[in-house]
Amino acid sequence: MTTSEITTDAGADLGAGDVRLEIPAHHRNLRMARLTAAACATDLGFTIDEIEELRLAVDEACAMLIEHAPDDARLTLTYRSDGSLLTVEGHCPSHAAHVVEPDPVAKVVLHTTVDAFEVISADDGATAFRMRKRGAVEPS
Amino acid sequence: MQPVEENDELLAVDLTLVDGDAIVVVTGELDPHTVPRFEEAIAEATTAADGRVVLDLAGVGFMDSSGLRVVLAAHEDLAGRGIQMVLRTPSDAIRRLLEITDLLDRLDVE
Repeated sequence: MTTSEITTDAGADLGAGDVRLEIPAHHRNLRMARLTAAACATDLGFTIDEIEELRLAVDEACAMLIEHAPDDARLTLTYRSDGSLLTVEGHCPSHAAHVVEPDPVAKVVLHTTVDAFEVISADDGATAFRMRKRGAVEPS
Repeated sequence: MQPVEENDELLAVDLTLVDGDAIVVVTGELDPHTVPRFEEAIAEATTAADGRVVLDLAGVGFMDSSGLRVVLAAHEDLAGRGIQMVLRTPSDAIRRLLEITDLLDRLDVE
């Protein structure tokens, strides 16, 4: 797991198969983030186990951002596909004075369930994450 | 015994006593939004139990680390009181979470 100070590209243009979800940054909306992750992974031909792992990872990462978000904040999630690779980026305003990190249990989960995960201090004072997971089978 | 909480769209928790065991049947998804209800149900089960506290998780389609933390805290609290806590019929997704976090062998799973 790494932290960096690059700018998230959550606002960049979307590809034809990419999905963006913007939701109030409340824990009650985690389910929407999970459902969207599962739908995108299904479209890429991920196995059931891979879908479950991605659902769990997206939930943990989003919960981390929401934990530090102001009450009226909105969480933006971008799901980008490239062959069998799915990249999920999350971006949310934060009132944390430092770079946030997942708690130890969530950190273990994230390390185990996705191929890469990083927390980003965005240059607009927000916190963001980026994760990548590649499915075992190339989509047809 | 009446249900601790009636169903809403995300989580239902039902508590019954069977031969002294407090059985908590959980249906839905366990995440930071729903976990407080799960925690309440375990607390009530702890008070009601003459025997074990059994968490029936067959109907739980998703659990993240927030749910796992509640399970772990309850396990340690109950062990300190000499009460056994059992996870009954966890789904494959929950078993996978327990494997990832190396807790499958630490908890009583049936």
